[in-house]
Amino acid sequence: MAILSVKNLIISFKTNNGTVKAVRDVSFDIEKGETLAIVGESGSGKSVSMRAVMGILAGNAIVEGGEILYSGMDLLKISEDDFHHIRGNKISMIFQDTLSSLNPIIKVGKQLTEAMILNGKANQRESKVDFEDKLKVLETAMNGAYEHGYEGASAPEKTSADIKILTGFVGSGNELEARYNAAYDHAQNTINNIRHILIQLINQPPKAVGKLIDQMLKPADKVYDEFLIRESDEEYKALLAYIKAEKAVYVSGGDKEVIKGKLNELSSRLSAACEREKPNFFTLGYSIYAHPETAQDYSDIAALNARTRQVLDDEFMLDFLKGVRAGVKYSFDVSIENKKKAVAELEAARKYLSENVYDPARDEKAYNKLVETLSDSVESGIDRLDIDKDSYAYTFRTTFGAAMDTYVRAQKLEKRKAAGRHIPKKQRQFADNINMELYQHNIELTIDKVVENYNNQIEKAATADFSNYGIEIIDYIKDKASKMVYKVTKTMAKDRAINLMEEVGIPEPRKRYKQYPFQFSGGMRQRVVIAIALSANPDILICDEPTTALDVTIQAQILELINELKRERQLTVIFITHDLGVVANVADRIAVMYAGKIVEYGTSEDVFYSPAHPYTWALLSSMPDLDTKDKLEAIPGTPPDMLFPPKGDAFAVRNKYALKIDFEEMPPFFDISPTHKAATWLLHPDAPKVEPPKIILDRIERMQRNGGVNNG
Amino acid sequence: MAEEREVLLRVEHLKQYFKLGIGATVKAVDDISFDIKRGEVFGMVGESGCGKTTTGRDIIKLYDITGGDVYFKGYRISSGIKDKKKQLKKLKKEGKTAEAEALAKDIKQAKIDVKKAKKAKVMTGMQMIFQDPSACLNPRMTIREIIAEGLIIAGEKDKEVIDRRVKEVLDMVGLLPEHAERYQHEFSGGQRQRVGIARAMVLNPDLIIADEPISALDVSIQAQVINLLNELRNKMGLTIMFIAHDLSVVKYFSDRIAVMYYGRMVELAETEELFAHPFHPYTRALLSAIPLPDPNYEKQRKRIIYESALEHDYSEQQPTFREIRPGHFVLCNDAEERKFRAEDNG
Repeated sequence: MAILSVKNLIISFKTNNGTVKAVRDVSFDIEKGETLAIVGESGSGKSVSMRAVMGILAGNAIVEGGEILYSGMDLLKISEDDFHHIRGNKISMIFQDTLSSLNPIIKVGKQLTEAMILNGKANQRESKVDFEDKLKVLETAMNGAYEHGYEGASAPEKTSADIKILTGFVGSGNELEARYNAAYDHAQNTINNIRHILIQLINQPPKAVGKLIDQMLKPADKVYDEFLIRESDEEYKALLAYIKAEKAVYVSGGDKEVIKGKLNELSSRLSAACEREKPNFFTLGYSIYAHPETAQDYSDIAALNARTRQVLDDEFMLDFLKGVRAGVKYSFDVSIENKKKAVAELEAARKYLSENVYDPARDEKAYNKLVETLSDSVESGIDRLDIDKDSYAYTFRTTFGAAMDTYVRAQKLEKRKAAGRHIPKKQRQFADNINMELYQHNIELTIDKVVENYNNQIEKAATADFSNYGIEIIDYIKDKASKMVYKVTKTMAKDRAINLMEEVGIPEPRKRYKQYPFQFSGGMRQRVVIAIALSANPDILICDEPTTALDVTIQAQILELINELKRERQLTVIFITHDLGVVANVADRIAVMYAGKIVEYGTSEDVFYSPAHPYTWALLSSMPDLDTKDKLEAIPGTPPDMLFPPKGDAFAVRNKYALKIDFEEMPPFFDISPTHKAATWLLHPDAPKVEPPKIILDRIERMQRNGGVNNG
Repeated sequence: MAEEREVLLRVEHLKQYFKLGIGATVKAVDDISFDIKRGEVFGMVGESGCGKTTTGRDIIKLYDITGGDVYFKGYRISSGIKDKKKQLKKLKKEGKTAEAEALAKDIKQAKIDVKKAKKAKVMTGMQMIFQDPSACLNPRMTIREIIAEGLIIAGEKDKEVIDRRVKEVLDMVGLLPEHAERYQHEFSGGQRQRVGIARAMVLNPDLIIADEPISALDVSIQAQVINLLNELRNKMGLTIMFIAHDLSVVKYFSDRIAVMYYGRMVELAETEELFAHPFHPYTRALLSAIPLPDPNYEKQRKRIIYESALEHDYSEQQPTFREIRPGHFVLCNDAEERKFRAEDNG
């Protein structure tokens, strides 16, 4: 399923001169882990459509129609509050203009860590709420199961006692884990520092290296943990002391080989410690919580894990799981019952709405009530114990409410207009652009989606298998609990920020960390912005001309970085650019935009090896590559004025291949292959055969002859 | 062929340091030397912050240079007196009187030379095109005023001559005479850059310093500007110093290319030669990073990564600029020179 799909998006801007039609009917889907490149000149609407995805359109923008679906939500309709959870966190954006996306009076380091710390805090808070909520819901469900005599259900007293035990031992396991994580981070940091120092040893003067070693020793002194480097480890301490002493010798003119060897030793020691098996903090937590008097043996981690798991299963978990399973089954059964009811109600409402025309005098209260009751019954159908959230159902109240509001408002204004009464200035823009069919369609669509989803789930209910549900829920709770204690401290954020800065290619990140944005050159500033966007680990990354101001090496670095992230984290990337050369490296699919419309859409092989639209030809032939010798084919003229978009093909006036019909009628999409389509009349069966310009044919031929191995 | 041409611009040991707050200095340009011959296009590439723009601005005297000399049309137009005085002090301290005397003489001569160059008004023969056309044109002046300003400053008083000349250059860059009365906001990006070029052309310069003239423009317009510059160069025999970071464009446009890295010039050669036999590891890294509109090639591409600290060992000998092949200069020390020569022969 597509992670993000944009359907028939239409956006215009209200200006003093009239409405500028910036985006005219744009549709595309992006799969998870895929890169879509949107290529076009400035003013083609590529940035505007992406800003709509981010929910940051300028104030004078009007979304005239369409939808942007992300994980089941329509981003054009959800409230600003809901958007806070998505923007920057799930969907992140790298802006073209770096100066306006960095705060000039705050140091770069602070701007990088700010989001990490805030996000960390928010995550902690959210996990805590989730953890407590889930437990409460679980307890209610288990009690319900007992009341209705489900098999394996436990009595309420036992349930509440069990949950108390669960909370207790999860807490004590978490404490250990938090300590371990902090020490682990320090160890990783030290390893990174040592790598840095070893490089600096070659060229830097001893004094500077000495300073670096001093800095390195600080985190190296904090790595102590039961499971990593024990506090009683005299050998490690001796090594640190030795390095300290040797550093002094080196700074005053000693041999660098000695200190190099010792640093390597320290690094390999820490790496070995980090790679060692981790104890299972969940099971270990239970052993410590339930048997505080027994001393635990930490010498063999594998044995420890096996032993604690055994203890947990025998004493608590197997018994508890039975109860949980009963609770889950009860909750599921109830929700299916409610779902059936909700579907019936929704279908009735749909029928009622499509048959009735809204009358303000009669229907005002009835409509409000309808929204309330429908939303209530949809929400009652949600299985609160289900881990995969059905976002259509969860957001039904807001989306349906908003759709109804728009419809009602439009109807009222229509009545007003029909009666010839005055329309307030604020409403006039809306009143002029009423599209009743669209509003009605939106209402029906929101209902249909929930009905469809619920029906699917009801169908599946017969074959539902509960054997693993209980374990899944316990795992979920465990996960939330460990996130609850995962605190992003200032030093951790700083280390991560410095690593990120290094990753995006900022030299001397430790020094740069303390500088202001104006002390960075344009390329460096761009990298800071990229680092900030990446710091939140988004699902979708929108890159708005991120490399346009950068030179080739850095550009290649950034593109490689984006590609790598894409692979590692299944990141979905939308890449906006005007440079087709850049896109060949990153894009899986390419959409070429001109004057607010997509004119060609296909995989990157399609677009580069068999371009079909004259505008794509023009873009390709106006840029020299390493073997170009001929005169470039510049595109004459300028992009059209979008105040008065041309009637036919917008590119016709600049197009030397334009047919007569291009000036009269907009071309539809012609499918060239299942993955490739273009909007040009040249593809019509009746059109004359036209060859792309020679410069492109030559290039394509050269590329195919070389089979991808032509390096200048 | 290249040897026969007259040297139009000579830069010797140019240094440009900027002071940063307390004590720290940034060596934006550190001891670079090159010639530009009449009629050639001299490309300059390098990553952002490597000093290519600063070099351009030094040559046209937008900055006072810290050290070295710049000669234009045989005149010494600027000289880094400060740095020379510092050197003089050092020489005197070390007791090298003969060298000190020669340097003192040079300083005296430099002062006279720079004054002479000023009197001869050679600087009007050098003009600059800037990166962002909308930022470098005054929004409150008409195009006519913008273009004529240079002429007026150069001492032209006859209105008719000015009008005729403005019309000529507008025609030269492909704009219409009636455009002269408009303001810059009435133009598209490509037309604005044409105005920038017209302003540079109005004094019939010998050398144009084009500082990233196309990177702020739309793709479809970039080609228009490149074609225009190409035309002007073929028709009028212009000499252009072309500063850019887009290597495909630089290759398409330039006769010789200089690669800069961290304020040093690391390689200088004729275009074909540079692309065929890059020596310096940074140049190789740069060439391997050029994106091409070819997905299959891009998927297989192996980029060479350059890390200066690992690549060179300059602890024993500092590198200097040496000629490895005829007309092909590389920044290297003895050991590296041997290595490059072996590579060249083998």
